[in-house]
Amino acid sequence: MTKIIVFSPNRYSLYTTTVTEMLIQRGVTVSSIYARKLINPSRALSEFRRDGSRLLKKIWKKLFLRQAAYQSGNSENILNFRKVNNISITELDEFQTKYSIPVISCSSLNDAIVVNGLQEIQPDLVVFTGGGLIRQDVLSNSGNGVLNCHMGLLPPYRGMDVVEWPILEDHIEQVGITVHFMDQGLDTGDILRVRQIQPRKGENISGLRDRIEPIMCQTLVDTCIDFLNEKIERHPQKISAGKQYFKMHPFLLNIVAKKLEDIQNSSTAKDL
Amino acid sequence: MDDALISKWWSSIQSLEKNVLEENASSLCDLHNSEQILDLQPLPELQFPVIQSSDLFSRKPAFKHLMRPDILFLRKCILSKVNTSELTAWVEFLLRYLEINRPSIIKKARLQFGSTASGRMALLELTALMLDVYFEWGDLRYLNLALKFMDMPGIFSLGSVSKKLITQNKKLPLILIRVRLMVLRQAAIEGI
Repeated sequence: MTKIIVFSPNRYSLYTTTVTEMLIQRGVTVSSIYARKLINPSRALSEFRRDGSRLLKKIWKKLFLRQAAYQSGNSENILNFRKVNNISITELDEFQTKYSIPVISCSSLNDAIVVNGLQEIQPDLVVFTGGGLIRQDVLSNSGNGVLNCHMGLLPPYRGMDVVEWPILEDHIEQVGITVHFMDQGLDTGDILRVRQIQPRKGENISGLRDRIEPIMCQTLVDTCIDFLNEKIERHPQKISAGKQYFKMHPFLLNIVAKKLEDIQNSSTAKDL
Repeated sequence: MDDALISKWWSSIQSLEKNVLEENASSLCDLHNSEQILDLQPLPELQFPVIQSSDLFSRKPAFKHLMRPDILFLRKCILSKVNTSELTAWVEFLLRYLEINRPSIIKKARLQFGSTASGRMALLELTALMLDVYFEWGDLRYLNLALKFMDMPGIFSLGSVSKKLITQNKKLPLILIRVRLMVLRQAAIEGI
């Protein structure tokens, strides 16, 4: 029997609950879930220094608005995806009550409690649904590895804001997602599956990101199962085949928004 | 608004004596066609300062291995269209280091370069390097970092640029590199 462990950025992640419940529905045994504690002042401070006001917006959307955040946006969002796929769990604790899956809190996914848990359970695979960089002692105790779905096309677009960067660089055909194994580098691990996603007419960046989220859930679950059934192979990345991108400056974000409008209003949009 | 301000500063710079311009050539030479883009009168031909040979490329890319003259050397390489794997490795390292350490970069620069003033000047020179890389290589990641640094008051402030350009006090090099950054930023923004 294959054993999976899920890593989560917090106990309330819609992405985590969706992926985990889909895995269970598809017959995968989830042995335990490790979730980072919501309150961690030093992490919050370092993320705020890096992301500034965008962090506050993210917290507001992901933790306070949660499902309400999607109601006025793109209809192809994670909420509708959950309805279609009969996903009812909204908080990780419900996995404990409904499926008896232990949900373990940690300050960081690199904590000793996580390493010890991995050594005890010896999972076949860890499914990562967010929660920061993963250190080698966690990676090396994760069976076949830690599987992540990156919101960008690998290998060219590693790092952050990689939905926006290809649009800014006029490589709109390189918007997409990649399921890959995590390694010690940043988005440099072996690739399992790549999906290109074409921005649509009338779609803004926020709507595009909302539409990508359920595609990530579906692709991560499908790829995880295909890998466990040995239907898919690992493809190592060439480090030189991509660049690392960082948070985009608001001025460049505005240019991305305009480029997206221009592309969609142009006659060539349908050819993309 | 920026265009008007830049034009005003440019008039003051044009009235500077030739030897003052030459002493500050690293800030004022090779503006990547910005004068044309922003409709500014060109300055007299200025040569980038002569740089003693540097052993920077024999050092492993690390912030602790970087000295102030090395930044000028890197800029000279970029402006001379040198393209070696060592140059790429150093510039790519600096991009990543400065992005990741941006929240504490002022302190790190002070410790590395010996004083607050020297650290600030080094960060301005690094911002100039990022903009040079953007204009020469067309890589928007470098413009992205330069824009972020120019939003940080501890690194970049316009203060009394106009007044200091006229009085030409000992802070002139600091003022001129700020003007370079403003000119290049504005040209980059109008060029995208």
